[in-house]
Amino acid sequence: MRNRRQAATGLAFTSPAILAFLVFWLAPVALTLTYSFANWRLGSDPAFIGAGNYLDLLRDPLFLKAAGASLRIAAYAVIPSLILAMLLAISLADPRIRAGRAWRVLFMIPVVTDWVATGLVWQLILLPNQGVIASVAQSLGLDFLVRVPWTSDATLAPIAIALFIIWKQTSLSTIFLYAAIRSVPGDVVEAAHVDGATGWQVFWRIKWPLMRPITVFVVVLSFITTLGLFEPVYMLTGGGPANATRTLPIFLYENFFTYARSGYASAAGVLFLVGSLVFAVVCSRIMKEES
Amino acid sequence: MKHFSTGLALKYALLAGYLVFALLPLAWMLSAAFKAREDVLAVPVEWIPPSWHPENFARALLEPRFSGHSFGEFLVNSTIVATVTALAAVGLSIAVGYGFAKFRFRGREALLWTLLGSTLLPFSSVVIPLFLIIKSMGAYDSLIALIIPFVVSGQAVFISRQFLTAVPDDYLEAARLDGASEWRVFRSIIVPMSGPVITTVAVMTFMTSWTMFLWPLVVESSQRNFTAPLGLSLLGIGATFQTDYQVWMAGATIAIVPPLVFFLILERPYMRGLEAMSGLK
Repeated sequence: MRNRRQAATGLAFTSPAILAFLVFWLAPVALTLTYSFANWRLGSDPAFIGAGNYLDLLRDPLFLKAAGASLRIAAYAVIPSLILAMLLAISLADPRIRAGRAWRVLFMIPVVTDWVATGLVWQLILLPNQGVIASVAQSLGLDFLVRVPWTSDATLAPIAIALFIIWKQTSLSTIFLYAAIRSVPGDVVEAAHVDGATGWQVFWRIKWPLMRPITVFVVVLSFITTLGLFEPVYMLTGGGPANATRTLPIFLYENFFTYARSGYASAAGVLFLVGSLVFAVVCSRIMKEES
Repeated sequence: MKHFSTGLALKYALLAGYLVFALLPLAWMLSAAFKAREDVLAVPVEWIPPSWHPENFARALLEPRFSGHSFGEFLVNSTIVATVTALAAVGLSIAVGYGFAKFRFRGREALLWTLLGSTLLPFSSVVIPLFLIIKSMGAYDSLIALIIPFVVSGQAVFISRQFLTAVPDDYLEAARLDGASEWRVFRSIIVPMSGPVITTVAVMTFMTSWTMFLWPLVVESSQRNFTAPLGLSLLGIGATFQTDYQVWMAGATIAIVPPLVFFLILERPYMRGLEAMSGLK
């Protein structure tokens, strides 16, 4: 009886979350899944065509290119960002560094700004000839950087977007990794130092194994977040030039909202969702095994 | 000893270099927001405006340019949406976090992890289904559409649950033995103890709501419902404003200020909340 009452009260308190989850997550996903099997334009009646959309997608060079662009930008952004974040976190965690809190707060400023406002700023930073990079390069005599068409060259545009993402997101990973380093018990580190271990040995032998699970979490989080980013691409290139930065979120958005190919876009959305899900599950498995 | 000080110098150099990288674009934005049009893209860069034009801010805010609506109106919309979402999220997260922290029921763990896991998925992968639901609820093109999907978030529930798990059961039991109802226990014990959760969830939700862009872009069609980021993305549109970069930058500065001020005031609980997130393992 007590248990049953407890369960009922618990469910009563958690029901808003359960309800919101059902309405805004499960129901929509079920709905897209349904429409992904239909030839459907928003506003008209869907005609069910089985797996047609999926087969078309896998043969659609634009979709495959979008998947490639997403992965490329994510790799360009996430790998340097995480290396930088790890170095920053290690530096911040050094007890001899003064004003640690002030550093962390100032670092967080790009994170709490919004993509659109800072996207406008980065557009002007990256402008060839007159932009901030070009102008600073000219003052420093680095002439080769002056005319670089950052956002209108198919090779450079993904790099420019990645640079913007690195600028905006690195501090967030830094804070997570910093918290991870700080969670290593001080007396263990102290004992190792007393035993004559060097700074690097302490890091690799003691801190790293303890922070590995959180590091994997940060890797998964930043990779998935970056794959799903719509704003930096929309603000800097809108998907161009020549589809070089037409990532999955842009592909979905255009197919659904611009071309009204709703069934097709739904199928692409399902593939994107399943891909992210598989990635997250695989990573969390690895994470569990390691911890 | 010398080895150690070199390492420390390197660390300071790294932190300082990164700080410049992180803040320079915003410093440039702020300076451009005060410049005359022709000074914005001057080569070499003028870090201090040669002449000061605070009227750029008034122009960004007040000039009607989106079928009669001004950026100032979008700021009002953003304020309403972010505030209401944050308030609702605070109330719901405490209740839900309490339910998860202090009651046992079947499927509790699975539910909690599904909820948390779902929010790690990229938002753009669910934007189409969410759009379909909101449209079928009749909330398309309304401010409500910007609020209701975000009043419960996995992160907020998780933070609140982590915090409330630490509340001693004895407190709650004592109140129950005195004949307090479950609702009364919640109201008189849990809510008053939840101060840190309230601030963290309020700040996180406000900032997420204020800065969201893709969702308002797809769900709002009338410009009277536009939010600040949406308006900002259109600031460059319209023949007369195409290259009024100083007005863009004034608008960008204005849009950045509210979440930034919120963050700087409540930076401690916010950072604690973030650090708690990394305790997910």
